[in-house]
Amino acid sequence: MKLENLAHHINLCVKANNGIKLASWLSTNEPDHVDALRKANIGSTRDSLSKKYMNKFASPWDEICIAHLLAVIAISENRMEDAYKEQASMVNAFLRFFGVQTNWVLTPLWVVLTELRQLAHDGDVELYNQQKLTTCCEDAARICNKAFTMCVTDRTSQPAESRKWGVYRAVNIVLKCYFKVNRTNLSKNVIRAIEANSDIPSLEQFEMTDQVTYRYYQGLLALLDENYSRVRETSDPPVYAYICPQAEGELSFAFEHCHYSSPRNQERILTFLIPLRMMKGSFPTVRLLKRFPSLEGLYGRFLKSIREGNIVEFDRALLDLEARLVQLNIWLMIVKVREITVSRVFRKCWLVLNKPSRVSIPAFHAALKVAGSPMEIAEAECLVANSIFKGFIKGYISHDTQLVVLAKTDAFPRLGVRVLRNGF
Amino acid sequence: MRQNNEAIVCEPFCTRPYFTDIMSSGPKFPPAMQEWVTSQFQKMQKFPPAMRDAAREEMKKIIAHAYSTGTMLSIPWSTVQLTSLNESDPLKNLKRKTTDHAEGPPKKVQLTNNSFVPSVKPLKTNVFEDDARTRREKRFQREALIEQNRNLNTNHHTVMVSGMSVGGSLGARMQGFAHSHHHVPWRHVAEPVPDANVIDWDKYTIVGRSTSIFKNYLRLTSDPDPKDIRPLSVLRQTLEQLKQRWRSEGNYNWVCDQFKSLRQDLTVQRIKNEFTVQVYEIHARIALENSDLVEFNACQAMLRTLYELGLPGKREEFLGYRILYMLHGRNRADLNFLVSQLTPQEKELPAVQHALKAHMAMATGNYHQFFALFLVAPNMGGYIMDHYVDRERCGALITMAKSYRSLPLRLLQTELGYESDELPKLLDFLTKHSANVFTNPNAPDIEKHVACSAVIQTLIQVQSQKYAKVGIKGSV
Repeated sequence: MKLENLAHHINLCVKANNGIKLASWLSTNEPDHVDALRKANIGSTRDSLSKKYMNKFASPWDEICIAHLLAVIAISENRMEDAYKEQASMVNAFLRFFGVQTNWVLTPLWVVLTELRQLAHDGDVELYNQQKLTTCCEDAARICNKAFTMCVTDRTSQPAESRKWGVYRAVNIVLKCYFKVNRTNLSKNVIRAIEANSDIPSLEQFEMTDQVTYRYYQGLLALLDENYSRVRETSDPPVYAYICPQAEGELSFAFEHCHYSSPRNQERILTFLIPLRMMKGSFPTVRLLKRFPSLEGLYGRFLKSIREGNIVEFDRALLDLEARLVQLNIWLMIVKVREITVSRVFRKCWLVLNKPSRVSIPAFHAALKVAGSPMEIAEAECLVANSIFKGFIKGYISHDTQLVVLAKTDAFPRLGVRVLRNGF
Repeated sequence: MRQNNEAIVCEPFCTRPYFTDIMSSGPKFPPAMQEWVTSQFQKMQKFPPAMRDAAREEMKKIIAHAYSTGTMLSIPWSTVQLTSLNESDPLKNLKRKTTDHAEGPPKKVQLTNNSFVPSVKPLKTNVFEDDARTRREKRFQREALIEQNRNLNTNHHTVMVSGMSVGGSLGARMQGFAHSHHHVPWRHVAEPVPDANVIDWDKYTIVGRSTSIFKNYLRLTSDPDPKDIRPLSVLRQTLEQLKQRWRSEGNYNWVCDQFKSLRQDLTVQRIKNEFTVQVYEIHARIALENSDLVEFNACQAMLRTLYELGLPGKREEFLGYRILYMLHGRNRADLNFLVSQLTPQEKELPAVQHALKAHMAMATGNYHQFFALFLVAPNMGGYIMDHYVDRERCGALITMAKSYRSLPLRLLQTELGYESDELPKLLDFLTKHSANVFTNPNAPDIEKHVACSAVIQTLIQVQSQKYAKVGIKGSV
């Protein structure tokens, strides 16, 4: 198929505002037209095509068609970095067209952006193997950001046809790019852009898929920022309500509404939701972990050592899995969960002593030592104080007598029941 | 200042406004001419703006003339010179640093002085001139290439930054951090021979001539004047004197000012060597001693880039400081990112281990550990921790107030990181946080017990008022 034919097909789509068809004509993954393009244009280079076609079609379609063809050729020859560059110029040109259309062009936009990101990934793999700098993904992030801006700034279309309906999907794509290149701190700007713009319809009006993805990333960002500490007193005696406005709330929503046919996505959400809930004291059931074996591998050992109050095992698991946890940015959460293990040790100590109403600090100290965590007695006292403060133990310490006076009922409340403060 | 110059050089010449009238319409121009234009522009950068304008006008006239007479293809562009660019002046102003080619430039100057020719006609050739000219051209081409390389490397993180407002300069540094490995260790091959002390040597670098030891700091708003800039030899003396003055007088404002101007001189002359590292390290420590976190932060950021260039220095000490410093701010994401990037060797360093333990203690509320670490902070880490030690004390006090009925001051003294003679400080702290309610107010101070239930509510309020958000100027 020569470029003239391609242009003709595109023309029909544009006239009919047929987003779906246009998307397929611009895709590099549609086998039919891709093969036809390749076969008919063997050996074309940018120069030869430019000479022939530049200014022949309405701008920017000439650039779009040329770049698209070159991308197809580059992919078939496995030159991924070049393919990416061509796709990038294609998308840039496409955005010029996009900026003056209503939302029918959103469908082709998603297709080209997805392929852009795919090629960016492939291009970076190639660059990495050649030991060069991997710049494609960053570049892709910039382009996606541009697309997002164009979605947000649609002042000319009617509300029902506005490009603003693409905003959340676009922002999700941009967030994915940022997370991929580890520039999560740039995400704030994008989100701020949405929040600042009052014309955009509320999140609930968008497709569930967009909502879930958006909330997932919101949750992740909140988590990275350790945004889960806020304390509010509601009554007397003070009850510290556990408010995790961002991380846990967003991820819970995402998990509950994630489509059942996307186990991989569910797994990703759970990877972060589990430690959050663990900090609250609520643990995943065995059944849940069976569904997701990799999560079992990640958290199973911790859960076991918490239940048993086994600090040694906990620390060993922490050391073994440190690299993976750090990479996922959940290492700090697991460290906080360690406190729960410590409180379990205290509970065991209390049980062993036959549930007395008072336990001496040296007893707890000895228990910690036996459990594998020797320390100074003052530090043991500090840990006990923290346990009381966080609600694992009900009672108070009397320093001068070195005793912990326990509450008469429910001195070691069940984990899920306690109300706690999660501070830092 | 530097940014502007770079932008001019590397911007494709055909987008310059004064060319659009000629270039936008009309046929393409021969490559030889384009090269000539580029090299003339590069040459122009050395000259003051007034001369540059004149040169540009002349260039326009030449090109217009060539175009209208149809001689574009026939003129040997590489030999054409602009009268406006009199080469001798700038060479006289900028003393070349190394002495071993003292003959070089002056000789060239003499040659070209004799050879100024009205612009349009090709030059009458002269063997010596040709040599000099080709040498110059080659140098400018090489420098242009190096410039381009540098811009390619810096562009892909500056463009990212400029396109979107980065969250705070700490965020920017983190980005730079993530891309630190891209630094091109390019060797400047052109003549004159670069000074080994100066990395990034390029034609914009100035060599100073001032000999005054002390200089007040003034923010630069225009091109620096060499006679105000002190060369490296003078700066070394300056540092020694500053060290003495600091020890004897201890006037922080004055010393800080002097250090800033010292740093400025180093930056303008692009001197990045062990001496630079020394200067920044010393200034950082002095700033710490005086609780000047802003200045400290600026210095330690610069030190990071210097260390990444491979310069030796007290890396361990400053890596520890960096982690401790980040415990101060509320930007947890950046701190976690930093920790995740530490290499195993770095984690073994005592200062780093200390900082990481402090981080963990803070995160788990283990005040005992935290204040124990505070009291043994290596190097000058204690000064950094000073800035958030009260915040942590408040949090610890709340924890304890919830877990005890009465808190003996003795316990508070040991657990909250007060030295044995700092009981008054503790009492002062309690008063400031409205926690000076005692079960036994008439007892001697050392025996007093804080009444927890009375105190807990106010403490929480005070905590949210005092320590809600930490804003540090100049960082996150």
